[in-house]
Amino acid sequence: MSLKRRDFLKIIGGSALSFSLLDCSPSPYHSSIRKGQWSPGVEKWVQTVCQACPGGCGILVRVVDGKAVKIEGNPAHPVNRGRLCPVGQAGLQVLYNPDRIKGPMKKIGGRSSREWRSISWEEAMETLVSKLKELKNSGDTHKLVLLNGEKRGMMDEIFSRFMNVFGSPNYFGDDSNMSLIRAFYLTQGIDSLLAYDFENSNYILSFGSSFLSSWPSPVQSMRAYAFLRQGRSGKKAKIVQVEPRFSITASRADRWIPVEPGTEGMLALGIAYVIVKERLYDRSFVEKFTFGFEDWKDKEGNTHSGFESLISNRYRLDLVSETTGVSVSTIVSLAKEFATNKPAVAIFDNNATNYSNGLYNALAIHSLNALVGSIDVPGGVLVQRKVPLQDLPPVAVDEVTRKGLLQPGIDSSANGRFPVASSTPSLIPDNILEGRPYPANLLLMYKSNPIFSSPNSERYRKAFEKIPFIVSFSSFMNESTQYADLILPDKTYLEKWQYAESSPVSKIPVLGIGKPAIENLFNAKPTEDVILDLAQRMGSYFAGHFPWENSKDFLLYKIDNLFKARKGIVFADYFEESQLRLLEERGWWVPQFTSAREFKDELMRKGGWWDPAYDYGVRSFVFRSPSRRFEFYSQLFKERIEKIAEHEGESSEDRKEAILQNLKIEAKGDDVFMPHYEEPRFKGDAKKYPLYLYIYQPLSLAEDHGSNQPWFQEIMGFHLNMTWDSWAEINPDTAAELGISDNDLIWIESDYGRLHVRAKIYHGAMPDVVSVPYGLGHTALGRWAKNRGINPIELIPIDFDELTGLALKFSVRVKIYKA
Amino acid sequence: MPRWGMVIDLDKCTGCQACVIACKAENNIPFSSPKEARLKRIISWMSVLPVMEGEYPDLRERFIPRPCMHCDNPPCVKVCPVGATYKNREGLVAQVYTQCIGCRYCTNNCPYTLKYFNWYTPEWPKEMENYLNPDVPIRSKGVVEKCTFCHHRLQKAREKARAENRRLKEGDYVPACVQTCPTEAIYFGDLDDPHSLVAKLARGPRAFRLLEELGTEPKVYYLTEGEWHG
Amino acid sequence: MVKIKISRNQFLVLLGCTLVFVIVLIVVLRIVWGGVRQPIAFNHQIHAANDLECLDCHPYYEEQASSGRPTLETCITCHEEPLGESNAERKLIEYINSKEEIKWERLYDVPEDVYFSHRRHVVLGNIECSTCHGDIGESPRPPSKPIKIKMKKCMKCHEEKEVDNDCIACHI
Repeated sequence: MSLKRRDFLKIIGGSALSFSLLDCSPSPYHSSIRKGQWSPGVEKWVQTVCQACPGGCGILVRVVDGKAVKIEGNPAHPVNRGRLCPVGQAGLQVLYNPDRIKGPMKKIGGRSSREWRSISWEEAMETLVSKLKELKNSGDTHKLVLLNGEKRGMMDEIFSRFMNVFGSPNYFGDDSNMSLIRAFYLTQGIDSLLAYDFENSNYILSFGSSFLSSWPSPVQSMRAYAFLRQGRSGKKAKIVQVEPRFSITASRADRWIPVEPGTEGMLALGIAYVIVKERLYDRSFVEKFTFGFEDWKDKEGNTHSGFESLISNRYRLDLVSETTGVSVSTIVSLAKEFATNKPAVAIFDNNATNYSNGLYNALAIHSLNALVGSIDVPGGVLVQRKVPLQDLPPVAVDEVTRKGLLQPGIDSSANGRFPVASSTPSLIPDNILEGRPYPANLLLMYKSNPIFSSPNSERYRKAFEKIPFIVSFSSFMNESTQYADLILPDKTYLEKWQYAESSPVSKIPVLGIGKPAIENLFNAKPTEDVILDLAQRMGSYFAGHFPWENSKDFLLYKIDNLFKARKGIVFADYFEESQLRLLEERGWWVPQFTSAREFKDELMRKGGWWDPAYDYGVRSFVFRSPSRRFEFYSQLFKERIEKIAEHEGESSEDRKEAILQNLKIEAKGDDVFMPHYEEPRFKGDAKKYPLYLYIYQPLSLAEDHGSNQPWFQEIMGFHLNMTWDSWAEINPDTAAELGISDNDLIWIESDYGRLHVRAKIYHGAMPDVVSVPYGLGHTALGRWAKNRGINPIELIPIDFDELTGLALKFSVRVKIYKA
Repeated sequence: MPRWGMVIDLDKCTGCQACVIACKAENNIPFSSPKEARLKRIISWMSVLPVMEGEYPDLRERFIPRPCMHCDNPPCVKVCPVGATYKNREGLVAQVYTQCIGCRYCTNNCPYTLKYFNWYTPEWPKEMENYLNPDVPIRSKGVVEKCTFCHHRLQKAREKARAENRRLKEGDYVPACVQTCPTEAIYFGDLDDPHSLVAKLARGPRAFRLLEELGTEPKVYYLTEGEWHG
Repeated sequence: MVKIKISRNQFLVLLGCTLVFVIVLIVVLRIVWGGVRQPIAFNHQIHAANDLECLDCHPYYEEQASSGRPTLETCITCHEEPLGESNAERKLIEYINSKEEIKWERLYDVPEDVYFSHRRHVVLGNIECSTCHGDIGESPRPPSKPIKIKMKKCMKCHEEKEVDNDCIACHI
């Protein structure tokens, strides 16, 4: 590599050279150091877990005189091995953020008022208790709604139990991974994200997945990447990124394949076409572990067409090439590489599934893994075993609760709509507005900010106006919390007792133990403790179901099972660990401790537990579909459609056709239940709005409060030298055509709104795609986030994936013009 | 006497910028305001430079994390009129704030543009003052600063080793950026110790240094495979 | 132009008043700006006379950069029941009863950009506390102003002991 000085300076743009004499005239007698700074204090390192994302890394917090001054990775933690991503590093700016809500508050005036008064925790708790008791006494427990944007770990466990004991079916999480999970469910019967064994892969074909940025476990995937690049001896892995934008992941891949938005699935089918036609698929795997590849006969003797004939008949490469914009020769080379560099794995995330055809995209991409036999093999797709935590004691519901739980959820849809959804939280605002199936009475929000994150947030605003009482546990005054009547501010993850399991995308189960690094900052309380306290105040029925004094007590209960589980190991130093690991991988388990007490003490001291061995070949665990195979032809999918038809009283073919038509599915017959391509639908006339809007999430803005952390404002747009503002990435030719130059202010307009933003000419933008980062454009949240940049979600109408009920992110066409 | 140096493997770097944040946290670097940022006055001792090559769609991009190069022949030292910046016996290019008069000769003479001038009085909201590292002083307006290879961590590591009655060993002293890098793309150690990992990597076929032709002899090495189209 | 005539006596009185005023001003300013007042007038002498070691109340100087100052918990070990009736004792009991930590003021200061480690000096360098802290261990009351340790003093000692005098060994 050579980089000449002139190029170098050009790249930097003279950034550090710009100076003006007028602005600053330092006196030679100034004090060069700020006074009162040097104050060494008593230092300790507190071992805990990072909860800034689902990755669950282990961290060590440096605490000096009771103040947290640095966060570093915990070397004993198997997920991050002492390392940490920028979001983990910046936890200090969450903890000490001046815009944190500093104590419980009650709203003065009506819903639209933005004034609160500080109240005591006692008053706050009593207010909430009386609201809950009211519902309980009137038998309206189902009218309690809980939105949890971070449905994992200990908080999720406590909330779930509380809702169950209280008697409400209305506990909802964030649905952004819905299409992925539903695709894994329809093919393998598994209701969670799957894990990938990147370290042992030889070929990673990624469809838009952000595995080098906001992946569910970013440190782990980045480490796997580095291992594939320079850590592994022998064969080098190849990484190919298919995406409508030259993302960070694309830039660090071996090859970037720009693809028309929403046609990712089509490309996967084109690749499948070559693999099938050239007979490159793993015949023994397909025969033993898949269902519906070849044409098959059902119990009644009817013949059904299989995936093989579907692919061969419908996805000729010229057609695929025309749709995706990827050349035939590229498709052929991708297919050959993918099929001959085993283990090869096809990965994706919601960047490829947030289209109206998202579920089919997911099915098509994931079916590539089945074709080359990359399921349940080293280097392929795996399924994580859960940490064997102790189950909570059974709930003995009373009559009111039982009735409440039997009520339909407030997310429910008309029969036949969203046939493969497990829940449809995107329907909640409309349902609340129309009192369907009943009005919501009390809303609780935890780490959830739907007014910022949902398309057509006006629906949420109106729905919120209708709910008599809203409680927020937020640490920040975000857009949704502004509607709250009562705020019970949560502590940050650096101030809590908790446990963190590794994300389901990691192949191994890891449990990290979290303890408070600092105490007594602000008058906030861990929401875990608030709920446990709430149960105590609600009377003996509740108190009996929550026999835990506090969150630490709860944590100790949950880990009580680990000793008995007779597997896995407590975090250990490197030598000891490698010994134990070796043994365990060979099928031995060595008891490290003689008593449960000794085990627990060591677990708390070392900060966690993990099970390094992965059991391959447990068929019933990996394939939980009706056929106990990977189903190219999804019987679960078919069952769902038939159930709807039955429900409507007639199961005739005509009826089914009508249902499919309602679902806007173009395919016919057996094709419907197999991976195939449906044309994605976009709102906005293609002539008037010639560009696609692609919204992506930089790692630093992955969390809601990211944009109120000034460190992130400085680094989020580094690839375009942008700070403290939003930008729109535009292809140079497109920009030239429209007379737009770099840094011009432009309008991005859809049928649903327009936003004012700075244009950045980006060579990594496709000619018909304009990309905007997500995470800025808050109207609340804090001093650094408020009124800074744009929220591209405002350009999107509410539109659903008709199969999963997911509110779509990529559903709109836009135009841009100079402001 | 060690000669401290760094090796950064560009083939592993994913541009995540954990190093940038770790540095800001460790060294009490004030954050900018939007206005200061517009004037390109962000202070970032470690910054990641994206370098894109090729034509659409055959693009390649590499991310170059850039701390102070701690040159063995440092151009900044030559122009400092007051001796505020100098190279010490272990090869660290030091910046002594109490000596600095803020003339900015050194910032101009650094070919890597990695010295930063404090245009403003650093300020934090009072809550955030809590997270300041008590080991590192806060530089005032009018002072030049730069990456120190976190040499306060060297002081502490050395002290710890002595307290444990042993010699400083590889890995005892690493700057904050090296400590955090998720992909372990940044290595740190003694370039004069032929057995150290950094010395081995710096001798390897993938190694190069930025603007080597200027004769600055930087002690930050980069590793990358082949030419840009690798 | 009016010429003001004052007698010799008047002049002396005026001069005296001015002098007193200036002195008072200086004292006040020193208290406001330069002075330091511990929340409790800690008596080192009496503690030392009761066979307490420095380490009993400053527990970290052998392990950390900081020597540590006594926490309420440390005080309670001996003072759970009041020991005597001094003002300081009364104040301490108030702190103990309210469970509020005592915010001890820092008395010894090195320049702001100096990294100073107690362990390095006490354990590794075998330096007596009194080398820098003088006879504070025998003082009956805290000093009224902070004691600045100047670079000259550090350098002198470093030269004598032939330890590193590189700028960045101390100036971080």
